[in-house]
This record gives sequence, structure tokens and C-alpha cells, in this order.
Amino acid sequence: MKGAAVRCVVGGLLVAAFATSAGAAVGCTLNDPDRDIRRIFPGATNYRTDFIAIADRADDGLYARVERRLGDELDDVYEAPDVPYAYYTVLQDEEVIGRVHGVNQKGTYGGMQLILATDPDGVVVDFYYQRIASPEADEFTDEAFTSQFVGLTLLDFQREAENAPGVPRVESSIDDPSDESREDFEATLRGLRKNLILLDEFMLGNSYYREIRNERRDEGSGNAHEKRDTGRTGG
Amino acid sequence: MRDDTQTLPRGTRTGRLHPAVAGLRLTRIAPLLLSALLTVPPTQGAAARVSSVSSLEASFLAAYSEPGGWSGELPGSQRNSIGFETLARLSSERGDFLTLNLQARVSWDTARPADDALALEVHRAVADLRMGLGRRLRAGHFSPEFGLEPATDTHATLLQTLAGQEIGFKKDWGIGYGGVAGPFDLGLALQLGSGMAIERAHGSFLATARASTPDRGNPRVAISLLRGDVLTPDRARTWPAPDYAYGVVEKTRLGIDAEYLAGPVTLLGEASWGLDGDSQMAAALLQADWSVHGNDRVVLSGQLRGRAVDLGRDLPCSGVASLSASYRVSSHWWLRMLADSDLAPTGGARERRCAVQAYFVGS
Repeated sequence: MKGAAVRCVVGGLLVAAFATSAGAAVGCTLNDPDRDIRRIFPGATNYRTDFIAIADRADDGLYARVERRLGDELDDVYEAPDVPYAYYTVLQDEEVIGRVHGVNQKGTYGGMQLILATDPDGVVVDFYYQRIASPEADEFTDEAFTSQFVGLTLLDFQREAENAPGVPRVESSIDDPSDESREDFEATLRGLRKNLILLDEFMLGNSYYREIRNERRDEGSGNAHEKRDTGRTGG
Repeated sequence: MRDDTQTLPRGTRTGRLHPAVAGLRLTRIAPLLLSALLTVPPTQGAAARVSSVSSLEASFLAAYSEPGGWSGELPGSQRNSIGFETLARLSSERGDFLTLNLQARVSWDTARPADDALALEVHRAVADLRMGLGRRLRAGHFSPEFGLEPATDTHATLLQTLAGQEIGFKKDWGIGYGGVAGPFDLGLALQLGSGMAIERAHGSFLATARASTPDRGNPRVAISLLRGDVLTPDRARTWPAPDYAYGVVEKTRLGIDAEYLAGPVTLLGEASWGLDGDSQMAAALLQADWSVHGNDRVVLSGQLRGRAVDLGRDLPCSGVASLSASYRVSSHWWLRMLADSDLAPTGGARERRCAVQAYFVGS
């Protein structure tokens, strides 16, 4: 009787587990979302959490498109397609006033956790490391470095610098704060680019993707001066 | 196999539980928990929506100890099991209002006869009701607000905190409150004092409180208080219910814990002092986790823990030194190894152990 009951409970749990959309453990969540969101958005009243994985989207080309936009292959351990990303949509009553989202990024001494806060249009309003295991962590976490990213958008990571063709604008405008941790600086830029690409794909309807694509098309046709509708709705 | 039972402290109220002890049974609660987690449909655009993530897990363990021999269990830590975890957030147009988390395993208890070895372990079963930013009410099975355990994920690791040793278990059933008190994060809990099984006898209870500096700080420091009449289960499992051979132990503790990230090294430490009945108890733990340079998949760890029982009687202290290595094989698999040794055995032979674990989480 006891054995049958145990088998029923075990079977029920397994059915229950498979009944949901199974995937890997969540990638990068905020350790203390209430305190962090209240600090970044003082007017916030609450937030809404969404867990989104590349594999869950009805878009077979999404993984490849993210890699193409990133200009790099995604790591098959830390950036597998079934890793869910947590997106915190910050609310003031029912109005969306921003988002907070994080990514894991491989660093020299283990994974870094890069947290971005953006306004409804995807403009960076805050950046901080939730975890960085670098010997020069103090230099990277210093506000003098992280504040340089405020006001930037994904376009700054994808448009070329005017004085340095082929180099993303962000790399020519932000200095490496470390003496001997160039790899972690470059990993930070890669992680932030990835973070903003995923935000664009998951939350902003690819508005930045369309803008860059249209600009490049216009450059090719000589119509670079035309202003395009970005389609960013803000919510 | 290591004998984790302690000399009965003065003040223990003994007596076996009556088999017909009243109380809620998991067989009544589990269907309700699962229904709450799994039958609420995602309703985009409606008054409430659900965002959830689930994963399966499996732990395969082989351990060897001198003088115990081979085993499929590391007492106080891991045993062979399969399980799952589900995390769901319910939200309205004004944001999240309820978080549900269920983490359970079916394990094979090698210390039991084969016909009684299969066990259900509910590790975490929590409903968090949000009360605006920075405040929440909690109900279910969760870590008492004491020591490192609430701030550290030891669900799948070989190294553990002092919770199992000092309280008797890592999680307990009850209610709790979490909030912000000025610059500190505050946690309060009132629980049954029974551990993984839902039992209450001899007036058992466990009350804990913990105040911590914010998680973003480095170091993060916390102070905790504990008072309870705690049952002492012989095994960590929810069903079948364990035996409670020693009745309740009156426990009082003051604890301090801290975490400090120094480049690639994470330092963890905790210490507690208090009473089990009339016996003075003290314990401490220090752990270092090192992310190996150039190989982000490898973490090496070392831990020292010590314990003094019945301080007033000048009994010798006991201690354990452990070395552990973790290698992330893929996005879903980890391989972990542990070797430890008694430093100052209080009686009998010095015990040494080694264990290997293959751990899977994913779909």
C-alpha cells in the first residue's frame, strides 16, 4: 500500500514537472530586486517579472540572429538557447517607467553578472556589476567607469565611431579602467551589447535592429540623411 | 557511516512521537501546492498573468568513508535523487503580487531497508505575497532566518552551512516576513521546528530573525537570533515521515555571518553561540571558493568547521576540514568532488570521507 502510494506521488510529481515548459535554471536574476529597483527608480511602486528564453520564442532564426548582431558565437554553457533571462518591468502604478535586466558574461576569473537599467525606449539609465571576480573589481565597479554607460543605447554598441571606422562607437569613447584586465573590459562591452540586443529582441520589438538595418541600407543607396520611424513605443 | 547524533543536552524533552500525532499531512497539501503552481493558465492581457520557469534535476552520488564504507549518500548533504523545481510569478497590471516556488526530489535513502528507501523530499515550497516594494509575507517550507543558509544556495552542493548541524535541518515549515529596516534587510520566521516533514509535537516551534546589510555590499554581514523547541528528525525527508527519537531540544542561538568577494575568491563565514537545553554550544565555519584563473568552469573550495558542545564541562571540540572541486561540464551538467576529515574526533575513530557527484539541471 505504501509502495503504491509512493509511486502515485512520484508519478504525479513527474507529470507535473513535464507539464510545464522545462528548461535550464534561470540565467541571471537580481539578488535583491526590490532594493535595487527602488534605488534606480525612486518613483517605482512595483515591477513585473518575465522569464524569457531564446528557445521559447517561435523564431527558429533568433539564436543565429543574436549571434550575428553580437558579432560573436554564443557560449554553449553560459549562453545556451534554453537559458531563461529575467526581465523586470518597472512600474509606477500601471505605467511602465523602465526595465532592469541582467546577463551572465564569462570573465577571466569566472562569470560576471552585468545589470542594466533602461528607460522604456531602451536608453541606459544605470549599469552595475552584480558580481565580478576580477582582481581589479574595484576599478570596474567604480562609478567613474559605470556611469559612462548612462545615456547610451544599443546604437552606440553597433554604430561605428566617426574617427575610427570599423570600431564601435562605445569602444572609442569609454576607456578601460583596469591596468591588467583588458579581457574583463572587453568582456564587459560584449556582455552589455548582448544585454541590449536581447532587450531589443525580447522587449522592444527589434526597433534598434530595424533602425541599424535601415541606416545601412540607406548608406548603401546614398539616402543616409532620411530619418526613419524607429517603432519604439516605450511600453 | 558518520553518526550525526549528539549527546543529549540537558533540557531535552524526550519521548517518541505518537504515531497518530495530529497535524497536516503532505498528502493533503501537495495537491494544493501543485494545483496552485500548475493550473493557473497564462492569461496575457487579463487581470493576472503567470510567468514561470521549470527545470528537472538529478543527483548521482557515490561516497566512501572510513570506517563506514561505500554509500549513496553524503549525510547532511546529498543523496541519489531526481527532482524538479518550478518558479512562477503572478502579476497584474500593477506588477508582481505572488511568487510560487516548489523544489522537490524523490531520493533513495541507502540507510533504510530497500522496501523503505524511496522517499519524497520537499526542499522548498514557498508562496511569497508581495506587499509593495521591499515587503513580503511568506508561507511554506523555507530556510529559517538564521546564519548563512538563507543567503546561500546549498541545494545541490556538497559543502553545506552550519544549519543542519546547529538547528538540525536546513528548512522548516511555517510563515515569515521579509522587509527593509533602514539600511538593513530584515527577515522574520515562525516555523514548526520539525524540518522537512510536517510534524508538531511537544509544543515544537522555531522562531528566527535575521538582519543583514544589503546584498550588493561587499562585505555583506548579518546577525541572527534563534529560539525554538526543535524536533530532531533522524532523516531528512518529508514522506514517509522520519523518526524523532529525541523529542524536542530547547535551542537558543546568537549568530553572525558574512560574505566577502575578494577578486576570484569568495569568503564565507558564520559563527553561532547559544544553548541546547542547559548546555552551552558554539560553532564556526569558514569557507573559501576560488574561481580558477583562465578556466571559468572550475571552482575550488576549502572549508573548516568547528564545534564545541557543552562548553561548561570542558569537553573537547570537534572539527572537520573539507576540500571540494566543482567542474561545469556543460550548460546542464556539473561534476563535483569532496574529501574531508575529522580534525578532532570526540570519540571513536577519526572519520575520513570522499564523494563524487554528477549533477544535472535542465530539460
